[in-house]
Amino acid sequence: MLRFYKKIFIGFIISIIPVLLIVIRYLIIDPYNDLPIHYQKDITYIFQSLGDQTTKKILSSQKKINCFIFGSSKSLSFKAIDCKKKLFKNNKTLHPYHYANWGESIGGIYKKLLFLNSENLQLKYIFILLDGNLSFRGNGNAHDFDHYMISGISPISYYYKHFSEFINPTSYYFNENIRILLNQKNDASYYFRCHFDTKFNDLYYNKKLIKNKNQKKQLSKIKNILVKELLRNRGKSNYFKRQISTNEKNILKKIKMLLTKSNTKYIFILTPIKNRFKLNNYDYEYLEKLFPNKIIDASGNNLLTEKNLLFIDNIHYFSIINEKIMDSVKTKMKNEKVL
Amino acid sequence: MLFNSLEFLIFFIVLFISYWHIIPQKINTQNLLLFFASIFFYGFWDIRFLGMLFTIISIDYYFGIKISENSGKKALFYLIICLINNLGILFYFKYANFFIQEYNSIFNKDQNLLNLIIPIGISFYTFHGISYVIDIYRKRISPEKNYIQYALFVSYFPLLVAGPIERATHLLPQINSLKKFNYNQAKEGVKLIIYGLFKKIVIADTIATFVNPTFENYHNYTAYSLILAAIGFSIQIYCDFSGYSDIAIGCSKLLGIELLSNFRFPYFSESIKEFWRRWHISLTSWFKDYVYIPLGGNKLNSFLRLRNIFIVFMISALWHGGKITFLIWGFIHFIMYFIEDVFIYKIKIQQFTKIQKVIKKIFIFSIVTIAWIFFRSDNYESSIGFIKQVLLNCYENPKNFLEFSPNQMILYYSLFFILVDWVFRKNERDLDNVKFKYLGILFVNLIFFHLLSQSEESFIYFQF
Repeated sequence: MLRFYKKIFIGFIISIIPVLLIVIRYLIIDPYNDLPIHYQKDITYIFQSLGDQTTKKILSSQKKINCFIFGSSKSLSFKAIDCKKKLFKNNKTLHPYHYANWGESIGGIYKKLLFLNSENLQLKYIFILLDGNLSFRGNGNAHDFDHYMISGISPISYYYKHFSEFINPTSYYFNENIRILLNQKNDASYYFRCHFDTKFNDLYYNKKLIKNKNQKKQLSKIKNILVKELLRNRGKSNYFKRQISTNEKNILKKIKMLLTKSNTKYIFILTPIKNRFKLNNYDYEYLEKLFPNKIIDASGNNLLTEKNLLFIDNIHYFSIINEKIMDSVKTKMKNEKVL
Repeated sequence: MLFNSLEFLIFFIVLFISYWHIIPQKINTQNLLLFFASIFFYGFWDIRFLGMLFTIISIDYYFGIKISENSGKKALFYLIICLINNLGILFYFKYANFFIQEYNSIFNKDQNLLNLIIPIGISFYTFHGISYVIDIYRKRISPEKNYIQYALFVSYFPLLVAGPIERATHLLPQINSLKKFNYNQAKEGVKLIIYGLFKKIVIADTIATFVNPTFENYHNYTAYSLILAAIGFSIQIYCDFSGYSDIAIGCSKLLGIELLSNFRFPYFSESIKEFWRRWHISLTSWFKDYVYIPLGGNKLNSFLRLRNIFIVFMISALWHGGKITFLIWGFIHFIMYFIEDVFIYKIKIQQFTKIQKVIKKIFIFSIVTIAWIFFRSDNYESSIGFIKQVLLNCYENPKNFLEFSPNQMILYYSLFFILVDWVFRKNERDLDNVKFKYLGILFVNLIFFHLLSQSEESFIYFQF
């Protein structure tokens, strides 16, 4: 019997050595920037989650940030730096920050607001960019790949999840992950189409994406679009089905309570989508009723969405669209003193 | 409690230590511990399942004694009552909703389906019980008078939920004797557990992550991706089920009990007949002994013999569940069996060359894989849709399909496994003859990595 236990023990020790070596190597590389000393590091690998990184940056910031832009990856062209320049005329007391997440949900935005509040960050100005196809998905939960302080999972599960995702052979990036472990050149390093700035957390798409003359022509034409066109009444369009669930209604109410309590000035922007779908009238009216005069609807049929070439893919668009949206925010600020 | 879970690991370590070191080394105490461990193991899924398990155990225990106490027509009467009870329960849980669905579709009615939770492993332990009472009726064995020992025979945890389907003649004598620790047996057990976990966690579960979405959304895939997914499923179901059997046999060896072998490298078969001698052996031999032979076996003329084989294949298909696709799966196997029996084996070819043998193996694997498409598909329409999609698009240039990452993964894992199984096949599972020391370390490492990175998946055969 003793011989059996001895063999099992030796076999186990020999078998565990490669696993231990990989764990040690993983901790040295820290590919997800999980160790607090790496929180301020920029995104190095494409599998790093945007929302996860942005929370880490806030945790290591000097808590000066007081203006936030929430939304999905679509919101990335709504630049924090432009907010500072265009909307706040380089006001030195305002520090905008892009606090987005891939496919952000309304629940994720609420959890992030709660987190900012708990971190004693001042919520002076808030811009919430909502997507008809992403923000309302029924359960009102934050993404489980978000930072553990947002998603609510335990820190150990969060770190373990990163590690298990990294070594998962079925992962899309598995081959690259092996190269990262072996310190070899890999395609997962460097975000291939864009780069981040560390101060505002803005993301810049590579200009090479503008491929042809037609696209350039379209981009130059849009500069002449009048802002009032964007702010016109909700016209005929395709509509999403009703999607704001009871849970999400409660979340929206809580967001309102929190923003009112914090004396925050805020605005909601419904982003355009290439297929020109709009939020359902019922849902829109609910939002309008809950947040009167605080909504800009850039979705559906309008002069922005009819120019297909302004979209990078079916979802994302060039920053010029958000520049126009920002102009409309500015007009709203002036005319209706919303912010 | 899954074999590939942390809970099972803890459960088994505690049981192993208690079994060999804490309790007195006596038959009764050993059996009592194994019995309670089995009850705990099964109840861990759902405590309600225990009610059904004990009902079937008690019925068979009672009728086993009754059959042995009587003879002639009275014994037959008790046997029939017992079989009606067993099969009635099995039919109610497994086929009631199937018949309601068929009734609704034929007569265009809207009868509500029954809200049933099928107890895990019911097909397996019902068959244990049936073989026990039939063997008593045939005077092959005497009934077990000790309730705990009989209950342990049916509920013995390694084989409770997915077999191998044991025979009383093989298992009961082992239960009734003192189990002693044997180093070589335990070593063999550990090797089987490692190989079983490797097959389940490393191969089956990984391939499943790519095969499942392909079968669910076959419309969106190219013909070559679908072919690869079908091959992937063949490997997946084999690794999943034989992996389970290996772990069950391995755990049992560690407890000093030998179980029947369930698989012997079926994908290297050169005929369907050989495939069925190598695939799910315990079920095939069960059908042979309790259905095929009572119907007349090989003693009848060709027509009646083929009729009996047809009946066995259809019952075997229905044993998996009430679905048309299972029947088609069984029918494809019968047709192949029929062709082999009537035509191919009439041609006297004394010796096949190596290449001919390889071609035969590939051919049989292809037929089995086509049959698995029906087995895997949710319904008849999906299986036909899957095959149509392959046939209508197979003219496409296959050049780039391997650039698609899931296809690469299915291919690499399948090839890796076939290579490993080929090495093991040469030695017919005598793992001592293989360089298992090094392969074992590789397997354990791969198991660790896959365990760390994937969530534990249930075994396919738990649904049967």
